[in-house]
Amino acid sequence: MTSYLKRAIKDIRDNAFVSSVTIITVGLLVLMISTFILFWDNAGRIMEDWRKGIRIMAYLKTDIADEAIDVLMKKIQETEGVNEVRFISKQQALELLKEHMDHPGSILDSLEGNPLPNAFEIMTASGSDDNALTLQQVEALAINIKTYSEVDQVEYGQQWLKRFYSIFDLFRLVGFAMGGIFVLAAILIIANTIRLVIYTRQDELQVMRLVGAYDKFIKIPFYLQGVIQAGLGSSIGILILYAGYAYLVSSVEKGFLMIDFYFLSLKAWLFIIASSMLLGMLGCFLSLTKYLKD
Amino acid sequence: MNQNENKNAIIRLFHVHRSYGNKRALQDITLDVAKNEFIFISGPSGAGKTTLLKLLYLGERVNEGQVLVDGINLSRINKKSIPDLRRKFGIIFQDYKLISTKTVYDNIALVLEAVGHNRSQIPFKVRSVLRTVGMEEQINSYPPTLSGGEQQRVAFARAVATDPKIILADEPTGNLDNESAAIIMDLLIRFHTRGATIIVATHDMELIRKKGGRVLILKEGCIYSILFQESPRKLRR
Ligand SMILES: Nc1ncnc2c1ncn2[C@@H]1O[C@H](COP(=O)(O)OP(=O)(O)OP(=O)(O)O)[C@@H](O)[C@H]1O
Ligand SMILES: [Mg+2]
Repeated sequence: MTSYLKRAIKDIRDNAFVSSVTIITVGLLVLMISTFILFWDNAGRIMEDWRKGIRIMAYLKTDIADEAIDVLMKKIQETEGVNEVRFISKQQALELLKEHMDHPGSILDSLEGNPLPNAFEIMTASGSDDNALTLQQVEALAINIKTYSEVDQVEYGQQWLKRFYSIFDLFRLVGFAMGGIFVLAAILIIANTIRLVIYTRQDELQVMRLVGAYDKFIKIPFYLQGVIQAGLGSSIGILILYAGYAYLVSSVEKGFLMIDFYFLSLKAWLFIIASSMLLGMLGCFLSLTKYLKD
Repeated sequence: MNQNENKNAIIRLFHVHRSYGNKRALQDITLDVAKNEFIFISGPSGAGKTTLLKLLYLGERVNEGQVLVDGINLSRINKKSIPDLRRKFGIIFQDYKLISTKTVYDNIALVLEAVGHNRSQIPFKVRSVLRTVGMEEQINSYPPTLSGGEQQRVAFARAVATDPKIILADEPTGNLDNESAAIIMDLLIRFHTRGATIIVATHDMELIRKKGGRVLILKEGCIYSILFQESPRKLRR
């Protein structure tokens, strides 16, 4: 195995030009794709944050007994998709309202008693949860809650949510489409690069076969070269991306972005490098198998 | 073709045909080459000399007929055994087939490594084989920087480095002056006396005349004649 590795490294050096072209190509592709992943990942995370804590307010009718409220609260609590239910009594609601007003006392004091209803604040499963609700599910849940006889009205920011969700869906669709195009382009470019490599080295491949080299003697160093070049290329791509990221984060004034902008996780970039290496080997395997067929 | 001859044959061709599209490169070739024979294949350009050699190491396949090499029927050979078949041969290709991105040393070392030569002895072996063809000085040169004749000598060195049973030499002196050609012929004769079977394709009649031996003459893909060269006059017919 070490002798195969030695030959692979020697071959990379002997074919310095083609090797550099290959490594640079892989580097650029990885830079392109991981830049995209970086932005998509951050944008997605930010949007998920916004989505968090979608709540449904259920206002109760005035003449409900405390026991009935407890029973209803339990029922809602056990409903699928509900994370948390909080009871907000009308007194609490009034306190909250007073806190939020600039000049408390003025209007509120002139009121006879408390006009506000008792309410439940229902937090739905959201963003970071596995069972996060879609807009349709939130709607269905709200309608379901409204069917309880104790409930007078429900409210969940319908309009705003609808618009937000359609933007989010569009964002995801565009992301997948672009990601798909990038990956497709990458595969095409890599296939062509490997074809170039095989083309420039066909003499060598032919000679080795004609003198009676076994297939594995020819193939294994080739695979190793694919793996090494893809590994080098993708590492370079990610390093450049990291440099760019670090520059951006340090040069843009803190707080200007108003959001936390994270770099890819260690897992993500190990994944990118590993899949590049796998792709490099697979590409070599497929094209060599085709080339050495007869 | 007597029984004795058949038993001794290391290479047998039996009614072999090979065409490229409409072009018939070889037609109805039947030939036995004995173990340790030194045979020439001659004939004008395009007669099929190179094609005939290619059929032996499965550089090409026959369209019809049978080829046997060292008891192996090439029509029935298992794909996995093709490298083993090719290891019986040392081949000097008409176009040399040297790897241009590798040094002279690496060109030969790679082949030795490929056929499983003892790794520790490769440097020594490469040097000694280059010395025999007078190319030791250029051991670190790249083939494109060598003259045609120098490349030919490297190709020769590579072919014989593995001590093959059968040497196929396709125009091995085509690019050489008389002196270098004589050196190559001497080397071929040396391998012949050591027990190798030698097949030389050439249209260099001078070479054939000097060496003598059986000569297969091809013309337009057919056997024109097989003769035993002893004197220059017979060939002129
Ligand atoms: N790969 C090929 N495709 C098509 N035709 C071919 C191919 N190889 C050989 N031929 C044809 O087959 C015939 C025999 O070719 P071959 O190379 O065997 O001749 P040759 O006797 O070696 O000639 P030379 O002395 O010029 O080397 C030629 O007419 C040639 O054009
Ligand atoms: Mg020829």
